[in-house]
Amino acid sequence: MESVSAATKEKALPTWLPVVTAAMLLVSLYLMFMWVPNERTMGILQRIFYFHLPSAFTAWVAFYIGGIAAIRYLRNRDNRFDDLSVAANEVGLLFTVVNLVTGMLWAKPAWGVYWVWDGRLTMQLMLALIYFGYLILRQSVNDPGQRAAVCAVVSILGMVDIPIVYMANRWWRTQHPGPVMFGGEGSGLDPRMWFVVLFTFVAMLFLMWCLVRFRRRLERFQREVNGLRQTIHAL
Amino acid sequence: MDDRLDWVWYAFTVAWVLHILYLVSISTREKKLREQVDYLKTLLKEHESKAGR
Repeated sequence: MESVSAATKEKALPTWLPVVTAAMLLVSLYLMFMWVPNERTMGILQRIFYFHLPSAFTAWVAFYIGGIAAIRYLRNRDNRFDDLSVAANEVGLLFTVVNLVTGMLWAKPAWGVYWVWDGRLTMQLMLALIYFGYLILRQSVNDPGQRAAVCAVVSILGMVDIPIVYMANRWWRTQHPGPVMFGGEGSGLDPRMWFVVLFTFVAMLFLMWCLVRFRRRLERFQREVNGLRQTIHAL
Repeated sequence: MDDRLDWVWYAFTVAWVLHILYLVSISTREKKLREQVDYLKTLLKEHESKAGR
């Protein structure tokens, strides 16, 4: 029988976490709209980048958390790691969708089209589809142990895709702008722009952690429901 | 004003709406699960009290 957790009594977040997250997000909005200068060629449109890039980084961090939790689940079959893995992967998918949509809304005025089958865009879409498939898989396997094990494998495979997404605009130079970090000569950003990117990234990490904790508690509730059902059936 | 500002506005609105919708979805799912937990606990108590008689 699945263990009946104390999820109902558990507090999702310590009070300071949403307060710090909200404050950091407000400061990042101020920085990206009021403080940082306009980019020379794209003008105000480039400000989408301050949301677009950190959301991709945040998604990748979430997927790595999900993947590492999946490895730990496979090693010791502790349900807490499965809960963390599904929570991080689902939140990672949210940030990936935000990244893709903001990218499309930048591409339309910049390139004249919402989408091109460029290497980076395609690989990022594939990453989203892997995790979308992961969530569908979770719904379709009934046995909790089997579901957690199969999903852990998919989660690890998804994690392996992230370096390919990162390298895609170095390996296949087509439409997506070149790398802004570690991209060699001609790449890089104004230090103020870097500061806003990094600050927003940290703010989004806080937001991601709040969402992961909320989502993880949901998984514990589900486990409690399953445990109670099994107890009642056994009576 | 730069008409590209509209696209910036769309992008930020969509990003925040997606986050808010996700939070709403978590809250809705949690509410349903809480109700199920309460219902199942009541059912379990009934089963136990019947068994105790």
